[in-house]
Amino acid sequence: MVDVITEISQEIAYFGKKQKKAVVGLCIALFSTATLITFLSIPLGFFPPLGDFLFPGRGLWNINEEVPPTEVIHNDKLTSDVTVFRDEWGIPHIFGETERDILFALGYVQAQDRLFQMDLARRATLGQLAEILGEDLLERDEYTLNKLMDYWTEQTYQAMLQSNNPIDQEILTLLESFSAGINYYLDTTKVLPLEFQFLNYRPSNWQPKDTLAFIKYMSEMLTWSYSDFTNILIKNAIGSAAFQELFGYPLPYQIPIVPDFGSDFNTSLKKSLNTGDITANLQSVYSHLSADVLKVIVKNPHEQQFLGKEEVQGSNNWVASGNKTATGKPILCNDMHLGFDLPGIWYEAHLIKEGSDWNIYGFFLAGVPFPIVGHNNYVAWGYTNTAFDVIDWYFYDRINETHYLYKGKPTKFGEISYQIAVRGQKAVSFTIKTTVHGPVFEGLVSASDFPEYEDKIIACQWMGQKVTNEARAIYLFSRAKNRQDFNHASEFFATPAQNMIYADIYGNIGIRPTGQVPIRNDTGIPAWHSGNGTMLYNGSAGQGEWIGFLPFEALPHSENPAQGYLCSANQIVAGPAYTKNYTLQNPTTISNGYRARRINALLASGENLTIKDMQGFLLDVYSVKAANVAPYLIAALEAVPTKTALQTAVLAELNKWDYQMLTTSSAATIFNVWFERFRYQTFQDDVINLGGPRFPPNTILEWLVKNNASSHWFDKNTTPQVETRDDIILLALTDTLEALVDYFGTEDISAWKWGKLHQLKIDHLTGLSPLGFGPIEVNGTGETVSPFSGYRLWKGDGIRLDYSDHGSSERMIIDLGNMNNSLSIIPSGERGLTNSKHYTDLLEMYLKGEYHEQFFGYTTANSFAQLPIESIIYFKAGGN
Amino acid sequence: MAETMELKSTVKIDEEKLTRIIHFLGAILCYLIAVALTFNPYWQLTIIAGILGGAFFLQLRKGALVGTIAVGLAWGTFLLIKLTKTNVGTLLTQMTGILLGNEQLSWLIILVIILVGALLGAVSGVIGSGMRLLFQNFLEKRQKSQQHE
Repeated sequence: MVDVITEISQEIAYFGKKQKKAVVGLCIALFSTATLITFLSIPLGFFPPLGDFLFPGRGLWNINEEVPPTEVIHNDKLTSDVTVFRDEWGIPHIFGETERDILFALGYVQAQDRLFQMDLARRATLGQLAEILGEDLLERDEYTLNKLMDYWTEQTYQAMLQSNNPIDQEILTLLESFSAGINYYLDTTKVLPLEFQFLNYRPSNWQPKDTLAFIKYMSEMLTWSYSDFTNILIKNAIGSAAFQELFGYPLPYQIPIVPDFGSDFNTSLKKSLNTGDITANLQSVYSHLSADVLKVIVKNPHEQQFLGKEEVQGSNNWVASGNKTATGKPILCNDMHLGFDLPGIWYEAHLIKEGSDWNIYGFFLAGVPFPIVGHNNYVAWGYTNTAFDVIDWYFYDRINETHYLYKGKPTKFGEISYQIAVRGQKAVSFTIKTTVHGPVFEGLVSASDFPEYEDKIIACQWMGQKVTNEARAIYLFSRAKNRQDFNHASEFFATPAQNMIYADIYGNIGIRPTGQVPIRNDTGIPAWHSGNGTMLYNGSAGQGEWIGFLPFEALPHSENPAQGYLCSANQIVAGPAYTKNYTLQNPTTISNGYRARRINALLASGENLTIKDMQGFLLDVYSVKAANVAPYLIAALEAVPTKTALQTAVLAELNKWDYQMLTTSSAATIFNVWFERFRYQTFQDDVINLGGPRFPPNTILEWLVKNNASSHWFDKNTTPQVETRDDIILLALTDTLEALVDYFGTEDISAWKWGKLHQLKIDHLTGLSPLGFGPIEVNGTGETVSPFSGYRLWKGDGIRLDYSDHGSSERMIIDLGNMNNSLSIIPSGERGLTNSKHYTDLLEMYLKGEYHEQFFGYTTANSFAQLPIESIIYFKAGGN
Repeated sequence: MAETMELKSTVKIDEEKLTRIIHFLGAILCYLIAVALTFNPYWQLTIIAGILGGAFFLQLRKGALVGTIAVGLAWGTFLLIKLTKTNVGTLLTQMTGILLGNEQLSWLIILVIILVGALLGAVSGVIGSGMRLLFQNFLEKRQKSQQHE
């Protein structure tokens, strides 16, 4: 070697000028090439290797925009052939002979369309985000693992493996088949979607446990809460009597979901309560710990969404019986209100076992092989969230690192340990301590403000931390042939508790709030404590133990009521004759009921209802709140002796308003901004300034406006004189008009269109805005039947444009007279590939108020082949 | 004598013509190979095209030039085909928004990609012509020493 180098050196020494120049040039070029290639082939922080991502031949340029028009897939896991037709919107209609084979195909097509969403959802639930996103997500993973969602998913899976119930074994077999379909896609696809390229990773194989994790995912989304802490702070701030008046039962204007227990809640009680008691004898440890915990939560980007929600994660469902419809058979509707994302949470699919009556159309979670809502040949069903209180928080005295005090005795902590994979660094060890109730959240008590509570720890007990059988429920829903089958399936739906609406082809309708609801032992709680799981408990003292669950049959339900319809919109479950309302629902988490009032009114007055009527109902933006409150605003303004030109114009606009929250309406803008200020001017001094973290429900304000114009709540603590309702109405109006003139830059109220302040913006799951949609002007508010919520109009000193990010995550109309007339739509597209024409095609239809056909009546592959088809996959049984 | 001079002159002209044709063919070959390589997943292999193209030239500058033009043009051709035949433009716009914060600047990303391709072509062209020069020098020396012997 040395000889060769010496020889070359000697050779170079004898080079001429030209040759030496060439050697220098060559060396520089070699060095530059190596540097350039290396630089472009290594990841740059968060960004993938730029060369791999942007240059010809790979990355961006090879990503599929659509699925192939025709595919033929041979697989030895299949026992029979399956054909998948994707319709003109990319929705799969899967024809097969066995359910296992059909679900294999479903797994494959879901992976083709939604792989990144599926992977992200399981990682978010199982605490595996740091593995792909790095150290920044480690804290979130730790918090997620601390909720024990991974632990209880694994326990549920193990329980199913050991279960003697043949249904569980069949479900496991189906989950295996579904997973095999996903994994076949993973094994055979060469080019993964954009998100994987950008994050530069390849997802691991899908397991049945990953599917079971979605139950915990939905439970967290719909039932995780910190209201036990906020309730204590509110009560501490305003006193027990005021708390009862503003935040307790009876809630005004509630129309119960189940109509069989009366509806008169005697809201006159609201008038008689003492309003001056602001000296609640709260024990400081409860309120101080609550304040401490909330201080930590408010800084946690993921957890703050569960804090102080003033609007329940809402949904609507209703059914009109044959007495109310033109066909003489029921029509069932459902729109579940969730946060908007791209791709959307729901995946529509149609599964058909040819030659049998097994024919299912539904809305699936991508990653789950059974429809969450939908219909088969016999029954249709839909959900709304019950808002049952199924999480309790406890504090304890810590004795040392290994023991805490429980009922007077030192008790050893349990321990659950994890190794959390973190991208770019070594795995991190994480150990969770547990008490008799549940996991300890070490970081929640900072004791910075209250060092005397340094020895206190906080833990929770939650329905999501149990082995439950929702997989059995959703498996059985899709097979139900009558009410009895459906009720039987409902028994297994423990969490997240849902109001299940039902209709069948025989003309039956029904509604049944389901879910396991704990019964607490409130013996020994302080006198001021509201109990029933609504406030933080002293766990060391043994308060708030769960001593059982409300039996399934004790939950209120209704079938074929005389009124001819049923509806739920997250309002109170049952009327005053039902004695367990307080066991079921924390009054601070029940919806204010405006949507329920409107739906009830529409259905009560409806006759010969058709699918077209129902399409209109789902898009309804009439404001019950405005219809009830705006007349008082108008009256107060009319009573102003000398009006400015602007006030006169506002009065004229409000007088001609039909209370429709349309993007073109100026009155809607004035009313909505005014109401936000009216609430502020009424309660800011009495609740928020005293330390209460949230305003009372809007219906309380409506009740006070209509029933108690001289309520002390209208009197401002900060002024010597006594203000009444109309003073505050006009004060709020002054704020409103000043702010609107400032925001729009004109006193010409025709420019103050609601659409300029009410807009929708949908983010991609990664939060990368170029992959999102909008902003776009939208009708409605958070309290109309067609809702868009999640925004605040007022910030600091004035108005701001804050985009809505929450609303109907799907719309479904099922005609039980002829299922082939059924319609649906999702605010997304079926395909999660960001350059696909099916990424937002259905969203664009949704925003125009359109629906698509389900093609439910096409029950053979041959008949479906006549329709407009995007693509076909032929799955062939057996290997190549 | 005059005839011999004339013949030599004609041969020289033909040699120059032939060299020009070879150079042209080298450039075309370089371009075609570069285009073919854009359809393989290893973009780094594009330097093969540059090296081959450069090897047709004995001057480093010319090697760099042919690599620049051929690879840059090949990458441009690839982008043109993809952008006109597929919906990748949407992805490019989205990526531009993510990388540069402004979705209107897709043209800049395209320009940068072509420029980087041209740069890779330039340096690999230099490698090609440099190697050719050294190799030819080595051959000539060897030939001389054989003649000397």
